[in-house]
Amino acid sequence: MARSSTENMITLMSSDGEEFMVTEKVARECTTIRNMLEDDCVITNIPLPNVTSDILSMVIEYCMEHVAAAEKAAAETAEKGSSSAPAAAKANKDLEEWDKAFMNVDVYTLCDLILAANYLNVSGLLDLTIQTAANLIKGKSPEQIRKTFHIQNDLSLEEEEKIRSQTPWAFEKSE
Amino acid sequence: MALCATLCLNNQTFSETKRSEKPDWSDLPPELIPLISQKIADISDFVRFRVVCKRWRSAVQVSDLAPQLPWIIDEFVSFKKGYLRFYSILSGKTYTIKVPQSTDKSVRGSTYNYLLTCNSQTLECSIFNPLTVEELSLPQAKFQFPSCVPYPEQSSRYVVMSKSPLTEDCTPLFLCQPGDYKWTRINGSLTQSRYRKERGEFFNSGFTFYDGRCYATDLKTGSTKVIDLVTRTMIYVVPLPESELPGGFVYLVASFGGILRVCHYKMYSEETVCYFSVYRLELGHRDGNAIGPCWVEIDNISNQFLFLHDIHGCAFRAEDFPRFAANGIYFSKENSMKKTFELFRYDLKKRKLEVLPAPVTLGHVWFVPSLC
Repeated sequence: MARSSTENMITLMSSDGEEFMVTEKVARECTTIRNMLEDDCVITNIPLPNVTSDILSMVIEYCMEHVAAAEKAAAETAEKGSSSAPAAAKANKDLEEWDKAFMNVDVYTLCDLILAANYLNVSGLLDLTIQTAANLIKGKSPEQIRKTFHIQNDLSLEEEEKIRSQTPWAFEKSE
Repeated sequence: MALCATLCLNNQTFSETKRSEKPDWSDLPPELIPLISQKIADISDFVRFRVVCKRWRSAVQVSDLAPQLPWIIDEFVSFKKGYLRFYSILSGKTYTIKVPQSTDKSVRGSTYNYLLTCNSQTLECSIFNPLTVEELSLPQAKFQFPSCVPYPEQSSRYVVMSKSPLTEDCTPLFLCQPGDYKWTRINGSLTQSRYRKERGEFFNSGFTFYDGRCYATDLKTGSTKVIDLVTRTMIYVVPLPESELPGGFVYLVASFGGILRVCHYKMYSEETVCYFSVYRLELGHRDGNAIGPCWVEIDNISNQFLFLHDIHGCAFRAEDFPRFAANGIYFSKENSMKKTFELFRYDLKKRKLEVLPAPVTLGHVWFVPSLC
């Protein structure tokens, strides 16, 4: 099953018709695409009707960064015979910092990125975006969460009161 | 051809999907919503998450709550005051929970997810989840001041009652579950802990449950009786580990790799020095020879950490708790001057002790919070 992943180029087409040329290695970061390539190795053009061009470009940016980081780590290991722990820790930290900066987006983009990461099955990106969403929820009241995510409250006043009265401790300011 | 089928499923939306359409968070596919809630460790954040909208609520069940670490009960508030207070090891927060007021009712121990409550006048007994206010009646208590052993299994409702543990005598043990009409005596008795008056020290002999069995250690001989909970009979006895030094405070902990015997040696001359030795229960063979059940010393509990508080311990998977390091022992030590417990972490690999931020006023009883 060893495939030459050197410079095979794949064209990904977004829902709004924009084309993105990426290396096969970058495309294979998306498990959905990897599975397709494994089923049929001659594909070079993949339409992605669920992903818009601006979101697809971000997904590709993420995949490229992570492929580059993995390649750099592999090259260092090959060069020195073994990876040095401090260098690997620094590389990890750098990538974490990059991820953090990459997640500096509005909640609409974040939602689209979650949907795209799920559809394309990019596990690292799905984990990162889900964690970012969870971080936005921590320490907030239900009203604040709704405001942050632009969610309409469709629970009736009675329903919400009932839930709150069952676990009042969760709605009080903790010390 | 398969490719086309996979990718063009939503072909009709091909031209409709425009960036200008803002996505709706309440409209996330239901399978993605629990992924978010699983990343929410704090239990009150989790409860509030489920009140945001109908879709989020129906996609996430109370049983989807991320794994939790113990809450320690503040002994200075009680049913008398009409509320209970808890310190969360995980969030470092203090939670105050209203409970029906009662003058004679008190918390006597816990069964992992529930608190054991007992009325000292009527001896009425129950297990109680303070988070959901669910209360299940038990048969009348055998003692005026019973004690309870945490059964280290999620959702288990086994209750094992003994006399309050600070006793010189051999203490009989009684077992029941909600719905039972009486307590059943477990075959065998044990001394759970002993107080050496002249030096003001507590000793603990070790007691736990694992996989339908009860492990009870005798303080005098140090041997551990293994009792089947269904037949209530003794299956075998594990002798005291030969290499174990005397004078340790012993915990039996049901871990993810079997039963552990954890021996805590406290150095009284220096407050922040201590030593742990850990043994794992092995059955069967060593060096090709059949041997009986025995304790084998280990220095690695791999991807888990232990939590020891008062006379009981529990194991947790480190992968479930990012801020908690694997292969370590988290334990509390009472500061009798300040009337508080201080938290420490002992690194099994480096054999080093580290002081953690200490909570305020606390008690001996802990339980693991659950919403179901």
